[in-house]
Amino acid sequence: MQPSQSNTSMINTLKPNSESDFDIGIFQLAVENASDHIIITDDASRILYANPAAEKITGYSQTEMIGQTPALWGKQMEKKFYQKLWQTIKKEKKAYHGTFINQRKSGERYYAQVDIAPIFDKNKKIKYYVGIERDITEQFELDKMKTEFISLASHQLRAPLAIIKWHASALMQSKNKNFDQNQNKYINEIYQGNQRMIELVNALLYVSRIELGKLIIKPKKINLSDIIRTCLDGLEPTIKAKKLKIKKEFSNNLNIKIDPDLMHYIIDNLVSNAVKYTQANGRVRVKVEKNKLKVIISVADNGMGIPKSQQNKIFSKLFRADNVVSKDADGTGLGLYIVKSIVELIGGQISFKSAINKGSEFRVYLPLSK
Amino acid sequence: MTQEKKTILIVDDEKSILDLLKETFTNEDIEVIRALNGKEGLKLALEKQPDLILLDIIMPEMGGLTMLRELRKNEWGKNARVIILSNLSNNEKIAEAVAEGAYDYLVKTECSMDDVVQKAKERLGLK
Repeated sequence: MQPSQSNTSMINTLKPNSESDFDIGIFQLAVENASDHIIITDDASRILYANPAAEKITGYSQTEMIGQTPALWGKQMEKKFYQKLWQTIKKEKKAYHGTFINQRKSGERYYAQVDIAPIFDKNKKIKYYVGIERDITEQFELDKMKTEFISLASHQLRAPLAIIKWHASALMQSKNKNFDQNQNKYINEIYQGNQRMIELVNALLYVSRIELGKLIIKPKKINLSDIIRTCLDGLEPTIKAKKLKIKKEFSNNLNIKIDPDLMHYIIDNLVSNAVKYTQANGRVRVKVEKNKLKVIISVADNGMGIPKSQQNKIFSKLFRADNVVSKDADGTGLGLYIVKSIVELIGGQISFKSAINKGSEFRVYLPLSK
Repeated sequence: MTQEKKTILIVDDEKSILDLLKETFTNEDIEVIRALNGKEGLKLALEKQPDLILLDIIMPEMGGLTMLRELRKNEWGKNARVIILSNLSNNEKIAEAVAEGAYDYLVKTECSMDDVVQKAKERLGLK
């Protein structure tokens, strides 16, 4: 569809004092032929121009859109979402980026990646807004399917893992001690290998829940020191084997209201990383500070540390630092990604300091609910 | 004084898990009835009225949560003791099971056979 006369003159008014008509022609062609939906509105967000892709994506014709506001296909999200948008583009006079759920003329809902920017006149007063939308429904659905597949596959994987776990442990506990030392060792290896697989599947399930927005937080009254002790107890064989010194700087009475499973995941991950990546005879310190508003958990070690050049990637999914990979093949690269996601979902923050061959300290700040 | 022998109904489509649990509970002097799906489990539950039901969730023919809902419609089944033993750890499933009055929810890969026996004995009043 050709742009109407008013649309062309609208573009002319935007002409940046160009030398030739050739330039403006190129701009116009680019906007007309862009695969992204592009609209221009006045300062009251009334639509002055909409390109053919906007017609294609929303299902409304240019005639139907001109004079209306983008609420024609928008208005599907909570009010506060749009309030934030207006706050950004109108009050702060900045560009806004976000993902919207919109509705086509046919009633079908779609996901759009949206960029909206204010355009100013000479006096820095907002004169127009430019909105660019990309229909990402297909990509969004694919991502969701992929994550749902991981969730389903992980649950299915658990069935054979449970069979191996229970039967290996039945063999280990068997009263019939006819096995020789090697056979006992092999059974133990089967059990330990299987445990690693269970942990990997659990990590994948956490990732899929986080990415599907399905991680449910259920705060309960708990004693944080019990959780820390349980995590340390689980690591006792490694701590003993490596002769690590564990310093516990926390009170026995750390009653707080928090989701116990998520808290366990956070602490277990940080402490087992410290234990795993600290050399024999090294030191690990777990410290907790608490006041009425927040709790700060610090896990420090004098171990391998994280190379400075890789510190910005430490919370990325599937990332493992070079110095760690060369010494130790297991580890999923998912732990710290999950920890950071959980901490942020609870409304907290995580930070760290680290120097290579000197050690690392991870600090988690969590707000306390009453 | 001899206490009457307790009976557990185990409903799980994984035969090797059923066999292992049967052996373990038999060693504890507890009688075990087995079912491979919810339909069979429901029939046996109403017929034998066991002291405790260990129930898996994902099974062919009839899943565990459907079986539990059906069980609760029955006069005896309304108050039957049920522990869920599953591979699922979705919060929604746990919430659903608890809403239907399951006592405990155990995830197979996260617990040991000892944990299962201990929980079962606790619920049977054998501890």
